[in-house]
Amino acid sequence: MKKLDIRTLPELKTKVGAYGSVKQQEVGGVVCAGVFIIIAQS
Amino acid sequence: MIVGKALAGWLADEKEQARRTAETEDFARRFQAIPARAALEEGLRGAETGGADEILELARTFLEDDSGIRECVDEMIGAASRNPYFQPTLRTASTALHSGLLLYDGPRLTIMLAVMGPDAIAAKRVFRQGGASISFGGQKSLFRFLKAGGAVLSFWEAPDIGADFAGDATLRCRLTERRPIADGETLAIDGARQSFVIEHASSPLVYLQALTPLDAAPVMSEFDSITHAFAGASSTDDAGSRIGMMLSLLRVMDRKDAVPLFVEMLAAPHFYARWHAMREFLALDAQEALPHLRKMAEADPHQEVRAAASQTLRAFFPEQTAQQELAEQCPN
Repeated sequence: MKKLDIRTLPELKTKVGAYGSVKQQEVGGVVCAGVFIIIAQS
Repeated sequence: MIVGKALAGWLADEKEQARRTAETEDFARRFQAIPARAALEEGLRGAETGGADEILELARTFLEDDSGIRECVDEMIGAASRNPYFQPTLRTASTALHSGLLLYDGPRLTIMLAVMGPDAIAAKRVFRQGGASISFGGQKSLFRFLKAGGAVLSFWEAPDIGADFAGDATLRCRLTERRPIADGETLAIDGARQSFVIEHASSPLVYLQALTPLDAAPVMSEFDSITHAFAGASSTDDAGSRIGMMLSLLRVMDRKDAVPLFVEMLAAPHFYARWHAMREFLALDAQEALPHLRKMAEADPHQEVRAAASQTLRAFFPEQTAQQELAEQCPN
């Protein structure tokens, strides 16, 4: 049975993080149980 | 905070604890029976196949029913005044910025009552480290600002995000309006292409937010707040993301008996979920995955998935791919 190393398989050009991933939170947005309010950068 | 003798007495008195628990259960029953909330429940039952717009119209009726909302709040205040140990039987949804309670909490709709202080907003702006982004949540929602807090909002639009979305650095969001909001104002936001930013507030904002996961865009998107260029995306599908992680776990555990699950997930509604399933499938059992990979390369509706599948065929199955192409060119 042939097995491939997942690290060698291509990724999509459009990277999509998992739901609720850190990426959503690190940039100023607030995401919690459907809460979605953004505060302006000063 | 309750401390000292009163708390010690309560902790030692099981009957008193049971009585207070019964009071909380009574609250839950009374809260559910509040006419505005009961009407919302009934409306949702009658709209079992309804889409996001229909669900949010039901929510709008609730959000704009001032006496119904007041009844919800009065019920909580009354229970708290009678019982110092009272805790609302409602899920909380709070962050450093806001405190919220879910007045309605269902799979197709959540309605949150929240308060956000100007101090927290200012602190967020002053102490932020690094860049900021303008985020588009992907889901449809309604906001009703019971107290607008003197807030000024900027409104933003992004290219509509559909099933064929492709993240591209040339994508830009744009400012459409900047204005103060009024007490009682309702905003409808389609998170696939609309967002807003709180620029400033002078007093606490008290607001209701109704949010539905129905008809959501496949991804939440972020745009750089300075350049307005596309910066990243993440899934709007909670269950789908969990299933994706389970597939990864099954692959690490070498569970070949789970192959039917991998095959099933190749038909996931979101393009990134389909390709994730295929990568995990190939790493679990490449020969089993191969016919599905060929099909994906030919017929997946998303261009990036077709391209990745074709690239995989050429890189890892060059002989089989060449034979297949030859057979197609010379069927006899």
